[in-house]
Amino acid sequence: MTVVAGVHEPTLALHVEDLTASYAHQAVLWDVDLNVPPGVLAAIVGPNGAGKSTLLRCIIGAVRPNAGHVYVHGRPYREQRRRVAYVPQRTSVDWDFPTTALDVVTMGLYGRLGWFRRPRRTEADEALEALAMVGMDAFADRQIAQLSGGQQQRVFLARALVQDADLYLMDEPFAGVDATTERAIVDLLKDLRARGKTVVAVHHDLQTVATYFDWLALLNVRVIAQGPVTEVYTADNLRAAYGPRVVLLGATDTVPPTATDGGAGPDAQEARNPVA
Amino acid sequence: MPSLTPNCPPRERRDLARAHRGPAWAAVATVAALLAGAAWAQAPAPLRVVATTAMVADTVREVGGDCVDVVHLMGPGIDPHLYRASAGDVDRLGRAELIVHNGLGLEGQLGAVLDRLGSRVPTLTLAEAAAELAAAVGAAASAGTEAALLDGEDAYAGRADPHLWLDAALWSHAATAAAEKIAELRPACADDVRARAAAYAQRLLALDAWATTSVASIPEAQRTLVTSHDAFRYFGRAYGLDVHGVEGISTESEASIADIRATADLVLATGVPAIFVESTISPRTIEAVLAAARDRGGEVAIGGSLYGDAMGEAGTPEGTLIGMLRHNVVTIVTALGGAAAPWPEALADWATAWGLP
Amino acid sequence: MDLLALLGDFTVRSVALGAALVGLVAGALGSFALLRRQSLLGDTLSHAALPGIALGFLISGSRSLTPILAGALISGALAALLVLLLTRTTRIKDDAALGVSLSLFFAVGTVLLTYAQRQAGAAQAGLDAFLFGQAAAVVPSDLTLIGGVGLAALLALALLWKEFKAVTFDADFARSLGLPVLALEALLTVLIAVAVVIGLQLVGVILMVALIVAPAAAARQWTRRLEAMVVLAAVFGALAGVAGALVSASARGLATGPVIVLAASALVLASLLAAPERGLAWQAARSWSRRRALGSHRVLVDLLRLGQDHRDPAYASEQGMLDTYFGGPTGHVLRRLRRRGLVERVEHMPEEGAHWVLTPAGRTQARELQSPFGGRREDEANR
Repeated sequence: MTVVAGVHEPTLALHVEDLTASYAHQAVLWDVDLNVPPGVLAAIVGPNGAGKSTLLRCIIGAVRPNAGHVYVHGRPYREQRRRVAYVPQRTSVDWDFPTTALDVVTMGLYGRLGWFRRPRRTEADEALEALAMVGMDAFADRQIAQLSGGQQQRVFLARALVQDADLYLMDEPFAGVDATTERAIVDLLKDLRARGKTVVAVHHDLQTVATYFDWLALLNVRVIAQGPVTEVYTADNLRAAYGPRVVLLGATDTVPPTATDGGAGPDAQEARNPVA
Repeated sequence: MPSLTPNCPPRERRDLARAHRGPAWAAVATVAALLAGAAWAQAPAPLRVVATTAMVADTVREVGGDCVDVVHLMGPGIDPHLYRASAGDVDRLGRAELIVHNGLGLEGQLGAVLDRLGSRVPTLTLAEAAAELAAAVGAAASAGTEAALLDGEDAYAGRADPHLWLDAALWSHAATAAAEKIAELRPACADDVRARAAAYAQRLLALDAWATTSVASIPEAQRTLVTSHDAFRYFGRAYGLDVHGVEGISTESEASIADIRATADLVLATGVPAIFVESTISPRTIEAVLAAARDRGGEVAIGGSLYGDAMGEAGTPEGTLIGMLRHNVVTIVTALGGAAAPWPEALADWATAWGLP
Repeated sequence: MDLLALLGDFTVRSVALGAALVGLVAGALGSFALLRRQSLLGDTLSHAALPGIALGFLISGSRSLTPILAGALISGALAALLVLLLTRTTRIKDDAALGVSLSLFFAVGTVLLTYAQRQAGAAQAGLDAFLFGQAAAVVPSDLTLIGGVGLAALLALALLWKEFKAVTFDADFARSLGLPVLALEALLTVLIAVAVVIGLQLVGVILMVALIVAPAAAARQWTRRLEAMVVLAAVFGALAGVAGALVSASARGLATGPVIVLAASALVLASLLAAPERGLAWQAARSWSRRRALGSHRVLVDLLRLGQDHRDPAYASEQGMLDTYFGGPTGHVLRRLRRRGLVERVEHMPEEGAHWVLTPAGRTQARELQSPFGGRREDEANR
């Protein structure tokens, strides 16, 4: 792969190569290659401590990797910040902060404003629109401490949506949310895909991977396998990622095509959440 | 015993004295020394004295001469109210043959240490001893008050004000007290030391008279002395000045806003042309008083820095008690609109020794 | 008030102005320290300033404020760096790292202080004053320095407001926007250090942390937005400064620094008690009113049940029965209910006590209370 005039892998929405990171002399990520095509809903799954959050944080520059590079739509990440939106884990923030939902979403526009400029009416309007997209416009002036877990997650998503990015990086967007919010988020993601955006999400729940996402990377410090979910979501791959103690109920080697209703069908029930 | 000639420096004076007693005694002494051996010096070894303040040390040195070897703990610019003993200090004090301190609570932070060592090491509380002698002798030399000691206030309530050394006449008794103590511990030096003390006392009395005359030249209305803290009450009583310190007798407490205001009020009421900082205390409090007084239209300036709780650098005239008082009087008198009297004859040699006019 | 008349005095005005400036800046920047859970950082910065103060003093030889404060800022910054180093490279956590840095620097400072004591020719006096402050000795040139530096810090805060806000709320997200998070966090720490240092002369090393923490903590109880919190914290800080200066000026022997801290603490206590929603008094009042309501509800339901048991909606219950069932006197509750039109008092048998009956409105409300979630209504149908 040659670098031509700063362009590298332009056909991929996200290209990560050789990414290596460590913490306290322990490898957290090693030789991670990730090649996500545009217009997919990609999931990254793996056991605890697999480096999934670290991967996203390396991409956005919050963690300094020991090796590797990240390209977004063919150019280095730092040139493409405007086209990437990040949604951190909901629990990574102290929600007792004195601010409103609208204010949090407005923060998503700070990058665009640059130094020394204040958010004005335009920004407030855009933020309100983003809140409306997640169904939270009625809560614009609400203190974020008074929001439920699902509402907080939606605010976080709105903050990403307001950036109107091409690539969305999300860290466990479905963790700790109620059923209604979960359905709403799935619809949102599908809408993004329909508009040609790419979503890469760390996902915590194997049971729903096949139904929500169409692209999958199994990560356990190294990438075990990546590709369309139908190809990757196999018992062998899962065992390789989660270890031999994985128990799969309903012994099949492959998983049938995804159901669209959240997995109530009999086939989908075969691939239960493995006990790791 | 012929009077010691003031022209001779200490060592020569002693030799002269010996020569007067006759060569026979010297021969006997030398023989005795040779008999005794090198380790035992034939003349008594100098008394190892550890003093706290430099004023106390200076007095002991003047009185003791070669008979004493004085080390002091607090150098120039050190505030004796706040000084804390280090481990090295305690060690030094413990190994002394005589501890001399001012007493009356001046060395506020050394109380426990001195108490403990007092049972083991001979100790002389110089200011107390001086006051006792003064009371025994009669009234304080220059002012006709019955009690030599001034009562303390605030932090010193119930005790006495310790700043005795700024009253030269009163402090002349300290010389006598020091001589007695040294004589007790080194009987061989007794005569020498008493003679030196008497001479030194004479000089202090001359200084006292000079100070009185000098201060008297200040216009009556301007005889107010405003300083950083109440160190000058004996000075004021002795030489005829109203004194006022921004802080109390001890510097241990912080000057409050009320202190600054009260002092500024006083400055404006008395119309005094100058106020004074001290070498051991931050000039900020006086500067604050200045700013306050000026804001209300007062015309006052800082008249200079005074040596209250400590002397000047060693090796300068202000590094001696006489020089310290001289500097204070000249500074005060000049700033307040008077003129210093001519330097007394009795102290002419002192001035020459220091290369002063 | 008598105290305000004191402001006519030059010294009092100077000290009050200095204290107000210090409180203003400390309150504003302390808000960020509070929100970042770094309130103890203010304590570390002020204690760690001691060696810098002593060194500034020893090197410059004079008692002018500038080298002393510069030294204080540098050693404070070094202490903050040490904390960062300890938390990033070892397993020591934030609070322990702060403690280690604080005690190390303060110990070094104390040694330097006693060393300065013995310097020939150096008047160490005035150095001790930095332990608890010597507010009374503030002069106009000090005010210029404190004001200038403080206002510069506030200006930096205003210019970088949204960046500081973003970094404080969600550092990772801020990074994804391209903000230089590490640099901004370091700058914020420096600004907090500046806020600490300009106050050292007035309040002293030991108590300065109170001015960083208290106004911000008080303001937090009243506001929902960061902008309001910071402004209110600045106001509280200034208020504490002025109040402390005035009160300490009213009597001899009252040290100004500690009184300012007392004023700030009083503000915190008052806020904790009185603030709406979060305040303790508020919560107590709410709790009390809920308990009262509970009593009323029980009596209403009791009346309804008695009526249901006797198959007579207009059944008049004797107050003694209600007392027994309720387990205590119900007179005041019944009177309250009557005032609200939910019950009526009737005379039944002349030799018995008061009787009470539900009004139609009372019946409706009682039914709602009996099954608030629209539950089974078979009770009514069955009875």
